[in-house]
Amino acid sequence: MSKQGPSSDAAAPAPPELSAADVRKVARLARLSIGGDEQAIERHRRELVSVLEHIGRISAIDVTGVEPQHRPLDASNRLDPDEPGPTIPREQILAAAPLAAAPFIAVPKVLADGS
Amino acid sequence: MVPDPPRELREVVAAVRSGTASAEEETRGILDRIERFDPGLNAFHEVFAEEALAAAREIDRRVAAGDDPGPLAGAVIAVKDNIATTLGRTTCSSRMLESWRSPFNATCVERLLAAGAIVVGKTNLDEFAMGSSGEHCAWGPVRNPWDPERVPGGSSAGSAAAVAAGLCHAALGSDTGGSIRQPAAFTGCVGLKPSYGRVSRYGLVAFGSSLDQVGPLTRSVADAALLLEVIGGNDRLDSTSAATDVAGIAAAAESGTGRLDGVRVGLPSEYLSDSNHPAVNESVRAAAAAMERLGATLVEVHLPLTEIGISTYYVIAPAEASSNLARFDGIRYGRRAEPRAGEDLESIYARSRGEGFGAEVQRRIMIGTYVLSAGYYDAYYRRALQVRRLIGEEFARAFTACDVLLGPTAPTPAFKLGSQRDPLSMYLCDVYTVNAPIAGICGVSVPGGFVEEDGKPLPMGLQLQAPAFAEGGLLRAAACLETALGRCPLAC
Repeated sequence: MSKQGPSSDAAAPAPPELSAADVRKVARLARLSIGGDEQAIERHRRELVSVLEHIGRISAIDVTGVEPQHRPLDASNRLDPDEPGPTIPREQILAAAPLAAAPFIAVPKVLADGS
Repeated sequence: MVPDPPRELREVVAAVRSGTASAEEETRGILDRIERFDPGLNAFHEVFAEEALAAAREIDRRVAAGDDPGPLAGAVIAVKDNIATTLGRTTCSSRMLESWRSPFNATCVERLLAAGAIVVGKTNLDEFAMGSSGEHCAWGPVRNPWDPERVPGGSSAGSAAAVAAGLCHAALGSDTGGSIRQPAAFTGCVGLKPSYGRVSRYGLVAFGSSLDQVGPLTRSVADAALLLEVIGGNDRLDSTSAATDVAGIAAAAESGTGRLDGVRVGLPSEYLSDSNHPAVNESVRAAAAAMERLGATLVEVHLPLTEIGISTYYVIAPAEASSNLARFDGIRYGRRAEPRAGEDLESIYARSRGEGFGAEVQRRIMIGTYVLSAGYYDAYYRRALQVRRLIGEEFARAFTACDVLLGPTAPTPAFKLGSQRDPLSMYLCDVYTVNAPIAGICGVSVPGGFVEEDGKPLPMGLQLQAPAFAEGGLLRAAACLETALGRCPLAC
């Protein structure tokens, strides 16, 4: 982002000033191709700003000393007996992949020649 | 000739179990109606006509052989297309999963089948369950059977439209911020969002893992209770499913003599906002008066964090979505963009996701990524989780003064297709439904009468909410209200 984000105890995020470069950075972090044309970027920017302004209202709530709640019921993890169960057959996993060369899922080349 | 309206779920089950009706004939009747009405509604993405008839014949054979065919024998059920079935595809109404076939059934589907239910097809939704109108569906918008110019609500759009039009006896939906209750309200169905942990999420394609629940859309409260008993209960395949017993909910829902003596009904002043449609507020007041006549005590309660729930939800849900949807990278399943010469792996991920996800899903991934990114995590995500605790505490305080909360399910009746162009204005429609999943409590929408718009009657929904795992009391109050106000007829 073009501005340094608030520190951990900052109460109020300033009204977000999002640039086209910020939008591209968020899209890059999300591994999401949103197209390079300026109109598309501007549309994403405007929508993000309007939503961020609204969700920023949570900064008005006093949360001093309140523990974050990740799950609604604060349930703790439980352990299951370590017993083998049925698994999904390999052929079905391969059938679901966009490209397979049994017994592998085929992927594009990830290493440059000579690396 | 218009095919006859189907009988009600429990009536069909009783008749099939006793051998006085044939599951095959009941299923055929439903299939005729799908053929007649679905082209105008787009509720279904896939219909399993042959498979459903074969399953129905098997039920009939078991009845004839004297076997117990199960508590849902012959019930024809539609399943939202973000719930995994080995039959057909599971697309989440997304191009990303256009041809994906699940190698397993969701636990809720396994339990339906084991109970003798017949899965008739997969219903359309707002892509990956993100939306409140049924318009964000890669296979075209779903239409409201009461007025095809209007939306059926979302995201369980197809499930609600199918139940309201009599294209199934009941349907499964999923609710993350209102996706069962709001479409139920817009179409005149009963829609139950169970308490978090009540129903296994195994096989439900994850959107917001701390919020998502599977639940029924039905024509009556008793049907919803029956379905919850079948699909609910602990499941070792979902570590967040609760051990709390699910048996007895249907009996509790039907207990009593239709009276509400001793039941305290909380009326939060925040739920009767001036920005609601006036008919919606009148409908809530009429319901409160009806409950009072049945012996309930009305209690005024305050939930001042109601509105901030929207802001809280639209931090938490997109954050969880951006994380959950990271798995769709075009490698192991789903759509992969055509590789270009010399392209690196990251570009394949990004282009696959850009091609596969629709506009609303992309928007939520962007919001979620932003609120989780370095420098913003504490101000948005962590803070939203703190507000989440305060919202839960506020509900808990209200439930010391009352047993159930009464209010509207949505601020308005169904709106017109294309009328909510601005994403934020669509989000604001969820104001009465997001807080139940934030707090993990249960909520149900029941039909609350009609309002006429453009010469057409449009259903409105009343929402009752109760503490986590209090579905028995919730559904009993809902059943009394349903009896007092009358059931909603089929739309066609």
